[in-house]
Amino acid sequence: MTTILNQSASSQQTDELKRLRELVLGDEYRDAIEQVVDKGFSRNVADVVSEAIEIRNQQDDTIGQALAPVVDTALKKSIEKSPQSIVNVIFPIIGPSIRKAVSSAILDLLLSINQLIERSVGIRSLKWRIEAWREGTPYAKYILLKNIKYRVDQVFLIQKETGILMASMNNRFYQDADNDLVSSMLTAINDFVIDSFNATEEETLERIRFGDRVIQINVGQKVILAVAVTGLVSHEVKERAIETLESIELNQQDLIAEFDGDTETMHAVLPALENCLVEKKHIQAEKKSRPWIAYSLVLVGALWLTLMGYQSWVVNQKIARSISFIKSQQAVALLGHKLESEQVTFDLLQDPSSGDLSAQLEAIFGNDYRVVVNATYANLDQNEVWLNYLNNHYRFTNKPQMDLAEGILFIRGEIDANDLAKLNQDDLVTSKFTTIDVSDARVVSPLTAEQLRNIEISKLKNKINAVQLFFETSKTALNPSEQSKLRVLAEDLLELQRMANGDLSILGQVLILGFADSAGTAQKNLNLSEDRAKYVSDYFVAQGIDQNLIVIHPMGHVDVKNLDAKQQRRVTVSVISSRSGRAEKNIEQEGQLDRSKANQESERRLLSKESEEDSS
Amino acid sequence: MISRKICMLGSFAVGKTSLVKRFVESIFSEKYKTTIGVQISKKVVTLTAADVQLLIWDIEGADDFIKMKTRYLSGAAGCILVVDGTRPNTAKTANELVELMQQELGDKPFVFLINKHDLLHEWRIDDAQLKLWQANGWAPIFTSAKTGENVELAFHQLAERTLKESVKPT
Ligand SMILES: Nc1nc2c(ncn2[C@@H]2O[C@H](COP(=O)(O)OP(=O)(O)O)[C@@H](O)[C@H]2O)c(=O)[nH]1
Ligand SMILES: [Mg+2]
Repeated sequence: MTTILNQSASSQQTDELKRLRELVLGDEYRDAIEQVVDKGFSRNVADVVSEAIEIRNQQDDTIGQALAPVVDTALKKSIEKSPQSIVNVIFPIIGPSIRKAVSSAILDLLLSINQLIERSVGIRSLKWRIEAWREGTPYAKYILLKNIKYRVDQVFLIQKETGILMASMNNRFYQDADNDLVSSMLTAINDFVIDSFNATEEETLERIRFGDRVIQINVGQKVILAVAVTGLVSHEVKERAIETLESIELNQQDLIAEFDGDTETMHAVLPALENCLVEKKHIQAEKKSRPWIAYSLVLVGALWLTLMGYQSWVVNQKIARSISFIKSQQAVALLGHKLESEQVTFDLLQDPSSGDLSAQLEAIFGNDYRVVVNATYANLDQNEVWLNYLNNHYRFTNKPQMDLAEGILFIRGEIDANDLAKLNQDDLVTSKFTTIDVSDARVVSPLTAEQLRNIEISKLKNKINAVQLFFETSKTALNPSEQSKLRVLAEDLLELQRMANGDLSILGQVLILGFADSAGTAQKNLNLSEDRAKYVSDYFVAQGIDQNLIVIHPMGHVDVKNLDAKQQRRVTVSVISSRSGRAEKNIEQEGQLDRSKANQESERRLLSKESEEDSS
Repeated sequence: MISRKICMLGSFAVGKTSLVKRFVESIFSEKYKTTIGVQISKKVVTLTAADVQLLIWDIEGADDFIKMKTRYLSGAAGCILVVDGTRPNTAKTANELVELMQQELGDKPFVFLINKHDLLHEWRIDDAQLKLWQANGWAPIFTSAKTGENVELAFHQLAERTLKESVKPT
């Protein structure tokens, strides 16, 4: 959730959300829903959730603020997964022949070759290794392909503006591929990449890879020439494609300008396209050093920029997860981290009492990256260690003096209120010092008691919102270890409820979302996810959380590719609150409606039953 | 064959994706799904003059529209504009979308659908509103992706109208 410290940073984002909302939603919703509530209809259908959100949105920004981080991560996840899902859409169309080609025998062969190769080290293999890395191909596959062949299977000439296929040629393996659809999709993917990575028109996507097939995309003035290649995109292929594109744009200017969506008119370009359908049975296995290696290094480097952008996105997600993991540890501080081509390095400052985090961090990164943890174990009782850490880590704006004594950190001179707030939230600091004594210090723009309390509250909220409860297959109750997570979660919620003391601007709603994995029918998953959410909700109520604050919503199965099945079977809990003064006023008004409990209950049910009703 | 790019326009959950599905596969799926990106489907429509292959661009998720509008609309020969008959508010969005479309594409044909016509007991489009649209020349077609009512007709009408227009890139 947004903390008071970074609110301004998110205001631009809020503006965009606002614009979006204004466009998509108007105020008729509000009137409509009020009518419905007044008449006491208890069974409305389908879009009650959106309308409830709607009406609130008309009143204030609360939901936007509360959901912004959620939407943010969801967006990031979607973008992260979308290139693949687009590939998945194309794959079935041109995939069958690929599958034929890559028989399981070849896969086995690949595996054994891989093992052989892994053992051999040498200049040659190193060179190949680098090339394989540049080409984004697993090494073994690279070797295999390098010794076997490449083959251009399809050539597409696409109208740049519309994505409509102007002409295409297939080799004998791809007689019945759906080139029209592939062509539009390529354009859409290209658009998607440009939007997602804020690239310019010039830095368009150069390649899409799936399995050992690559689609190489060349963007011209008015047309796009794409070639689908099995094997490696060799220079020959690439250059031929570029030459073809240039000659078509030059020689067929009129045809291109006149193109009216009718492929019949483009016959004249077919010979040029056919010319691109090159096939090589054997590429020379090994060559002496050639000048083009240096040349291609530059070229390929540029080509890969876009894709690297995507990869780094994925890695950054993992780094973010690592950082929050490290921060959740006792007596450990993150001094810095560094990302290199195949390695992530974390510099940690740890108390000797704290454990080694390497294994957990490695688990986050999987096999893709080597994780190096440089842990400096320092006896944190030593003043120098501390002063060093504090000064280096915080780079205090006002250079305060610090002294340390048994559990107390004395600060003298001037300290910025923000620095002080950060100190107070530093897990490493608070694990060693029970008190930060500023009685002899001047706190510049000191935090009010109110602000301090807000910091406490936002810490608590963050903690609550970060929890995910995982269920076992088709279970709607938690196993003992997850139950203990639930217990802590309920305690935190109770504490928050106590701190809020009825103030809805602090604790306005507890939104419990239930999820199921992909197994089973949609209806079954919906029920399952609802029961899971209810299980959590019931526990909260039993522990003393105000039932009226709780809204549950079954999500069914939400397809998130990066999550394994266990993580899909989850319940998340979000604390939603309103911050602006206007919001509080609205809540008061709502209170005056004095709806009966039964009424509220039925509304709550409606909110959570949307999807069920939808399909009945 | 002649190909035409057309775009689906309308607020979230008005039924754009369901209409396309209905038209392309004649299956109505109750499962609500919002992903991010564009889904492209194609279907060949046989008209008296010629066969037209429609490449139907359906943007997924409301959020992306603002960001991707230009590219999404680029080169489209026409649009299917969809409003939800149970949510009058979606009509307001439609006005803005038409403006946006005209800004991006100039004067391209669009057909105007009021969808979910099967939900008669929740129908919230009144006569005054209808008259206003008709006066504007928007001539709404009532459709239902669920029953298939008028879905075929709507796409055919657009195909017909795009065929009359030249779509040479400017
Ligand atoms: N009853 C009914 N429901 C519909 C109709 N069209 C769409 N829906 C439902 O409305 C919701 C949103 O539909 P969707 O096609 O995803 O909307 P989109 O966001 O505009 O693409 C889904 O739950 C559909 O099942 C219709 O004609 N009748
Ligand atoms: Mg849709």
